[in-house]
Amino acid sequence: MNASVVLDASVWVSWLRSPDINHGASEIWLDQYIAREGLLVEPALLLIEVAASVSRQTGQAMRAKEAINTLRSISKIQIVPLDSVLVQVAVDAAIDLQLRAGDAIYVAPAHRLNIPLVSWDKEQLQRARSLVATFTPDSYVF
Amino acid sequence: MKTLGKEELTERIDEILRLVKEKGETFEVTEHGEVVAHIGPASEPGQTVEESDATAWADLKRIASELGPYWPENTDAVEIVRDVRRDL
Repeated sequence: MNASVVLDASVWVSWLRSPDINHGASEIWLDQYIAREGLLVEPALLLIEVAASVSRQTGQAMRAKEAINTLRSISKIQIVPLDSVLVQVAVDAAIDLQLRAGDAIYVAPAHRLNIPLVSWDKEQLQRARSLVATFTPDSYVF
Repeated sequence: MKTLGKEELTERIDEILRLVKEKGETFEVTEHGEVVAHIGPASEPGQTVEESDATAWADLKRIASELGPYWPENTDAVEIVRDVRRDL
């Protein structure tokens, strides 16, 4: 059975941002994960965060749209809607772990599906650790 | 993904197909408020899902390369995401 993880927007943005301090590690991790045909489970919020990050930081609206359309087209990326069940899981996680709202939205599908969360955000990883398995890309064991 | 009704699809079919073909846009079509269909770019003829995915990953790497010069310095992805997350 192939692996499934929730990949936080911080990893996606570092992968798209070639000057980023974590770009190389994100690229290596994604290349390895894709080669092993792993599934990436993503809350729909990811699309908004990547779109906003690219557009706000680079001013490249058309490339932001192209990136989002391309992300949506990949069969190994499963976008999950923020339905009422996921909202309740995120609410509970936000309360219990004192998470940022956006962080809780990534923790929720990881908890619901019992799969790891991979992120570069140390605060998110530290607070989510008691609920889900957490890794940075360079600490993830294939 | 944009949403449009069945009647709007009929009226704008040429424009919609052009947006799908040229810009890769996707649409969901509703009838009486219920989503009944999705419209999006077709894979290249004869292309498998794996080949389509490989093309998409290569496209993303190209986009990342093209974006390279436009990213500001003195920040990182975690801060960038925190910035947009504060906009929730």
